[in-house]
Amino acid sequence: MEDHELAALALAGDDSAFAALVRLHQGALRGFLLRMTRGDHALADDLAQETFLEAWHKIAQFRAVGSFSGWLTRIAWSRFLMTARKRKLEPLDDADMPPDVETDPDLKLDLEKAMARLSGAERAAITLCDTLGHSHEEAAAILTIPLGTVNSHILRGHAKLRTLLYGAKA
Amino acid sequence: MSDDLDALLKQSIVQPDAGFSRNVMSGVARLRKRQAIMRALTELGLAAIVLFGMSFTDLGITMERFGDSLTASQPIIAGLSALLLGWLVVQFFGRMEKTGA
Repeated sequence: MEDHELAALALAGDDSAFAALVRLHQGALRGFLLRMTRGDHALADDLAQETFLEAWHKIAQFRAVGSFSGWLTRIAWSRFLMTARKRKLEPLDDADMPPDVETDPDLKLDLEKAMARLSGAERAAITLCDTLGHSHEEAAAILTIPLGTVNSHILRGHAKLRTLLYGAKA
Repeated sequence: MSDDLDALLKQSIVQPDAGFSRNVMSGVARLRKRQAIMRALTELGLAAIVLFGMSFTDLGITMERFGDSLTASQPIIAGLSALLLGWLVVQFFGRMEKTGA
């Protein structure tokens, strides 16, 4: 059964349909939030739980024109932003790599550590498009930023990742 | 993007369920119960306001005479009010039972 059919059943009060949606999407959503929270499993799962409860509450607002996963991830992103601001987790935009990383050509990190060095927006855009397979347009809708900004975040993020993963010569 | 980076970024980040879905659905059940209770309380509150408004203000029935009105002075209004109140109480407990609250 398609997501929009399950969402319609959930809207009509069918909890088993909503449970099916949760089972289908929890893995990717929690993976996205885990990366956004820089590996904080407890916080990522709390945010994912809040996201699904908000989705259940607002299921009538889901329009079948977009994907359910996109709609869900948009709620999750919004939740993450609120929490990040409240807890002062990180600067969400224009957070460049710390200078020591830029100037140390021998420093090589694994992917998750390198990802953690990117700004929240770069991390989100790369995770949505490269890892989870959303189009750049979908990512722009999820992150509520212009398409050009998504492209910039991805390009800049890739450049930083190359430096972090393969050294300055990459 | 270099092939290495492309392949790295495509690595799955999907998390295993490990009881997460069950926790979410427990949360949904709790939300549903809370909503049902709030809705029922709101209905009862509104009904109480309507009943008091009808019975004691517009029709001029005093608190002392309300008991009498059940049998004598305003039998139809009092009967309808009692029926409405009874129906709302049945609805309230019916909903509570349905949601398991």
